[in-house]
Amino acid sequence: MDLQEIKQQLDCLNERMNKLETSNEHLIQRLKQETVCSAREKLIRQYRRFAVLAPILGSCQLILLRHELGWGLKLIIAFYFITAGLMDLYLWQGMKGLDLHTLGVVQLARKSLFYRHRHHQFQVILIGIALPTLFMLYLHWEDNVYARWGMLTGLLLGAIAGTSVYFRMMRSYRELADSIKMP
Amino acid sequence: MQDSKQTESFFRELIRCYGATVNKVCYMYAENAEDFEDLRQEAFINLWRGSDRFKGDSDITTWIYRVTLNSCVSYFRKHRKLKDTVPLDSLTELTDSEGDDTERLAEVHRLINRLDKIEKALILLWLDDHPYEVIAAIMGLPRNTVASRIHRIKEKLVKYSNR
Repeated sequence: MDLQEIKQQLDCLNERMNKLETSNEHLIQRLKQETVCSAREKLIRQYRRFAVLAPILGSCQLILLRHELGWGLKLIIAFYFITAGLMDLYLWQGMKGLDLHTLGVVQLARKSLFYRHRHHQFQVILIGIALPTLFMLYLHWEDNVYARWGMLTGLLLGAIAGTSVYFRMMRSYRELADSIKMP
Repeated sequence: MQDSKQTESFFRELIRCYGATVNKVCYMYAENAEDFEDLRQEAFINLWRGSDRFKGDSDITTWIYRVTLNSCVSYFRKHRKLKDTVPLDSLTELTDSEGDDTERLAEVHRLINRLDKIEKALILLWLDDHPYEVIAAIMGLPRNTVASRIHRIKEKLVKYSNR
């Protein structure tokens, strides 16, 4: 099949696409009612949500455990949640600034990849802070079996869910990264 | 209210005139029928969002291609199990009167699918007869880079089709 034939087939594809039954009207109604958003918008909202939630969750934890924990642990927990919130704030602002309507395809792909890479790096940093913190909490609650079992269960469930999401993200990240390599 | 009506009428006109182009690009980036619908929805949502901002500073085809390609290239597809997906051929079989054409189209899709996302964007633009300057503007690359990359992609396609 030569290039001319490929071109002819793509021209035929144009005609076929015109004939396809489409759900345009349904989509237009959802767009007018603002009940649908793109995957990019969902990601941006997710970052915004966590940028707001992280300090709130951290504050709640410190308030609930204020009589149970020493100053060292309180500071580490506060540091973790403030760091997580700032990271999400950075990613939120970064992704929000990527304009699909004006940026070139390669530029947008590179910037998307950059923020995905940062997301990955931030995850590693947060895991690096979380694990020793959890270990110190585990040691702190040496007399509280329920708290320990609760922590271990939460850690296991979080690890299972997080690992699956992580590998999915890395597969897509690799696919995009391979596209951007310029010889 | 007037602005939203104008946005809606502009968007409807856009789909009427250029919907096939958006569908074609999404088809080439999709691996199955579900991907096609996801990419199509993503592209149309992004076009809707930009409808009130498009002021005619650039050619409308350039803008549509830029938004659609950006939507497809930076989209992180949902990973589905193969048994849960519908093949892409099912979309074109519905409108096909001759089985051969569907097979040829599937062959084109297989060939182009061997390229990476950026190469796919370049060759789709070239096959649609856009000049190198326009392709460079859409891709955000220098003209000479576009020319040399397209040359390499053409050689790749010929090599793949001869195997």
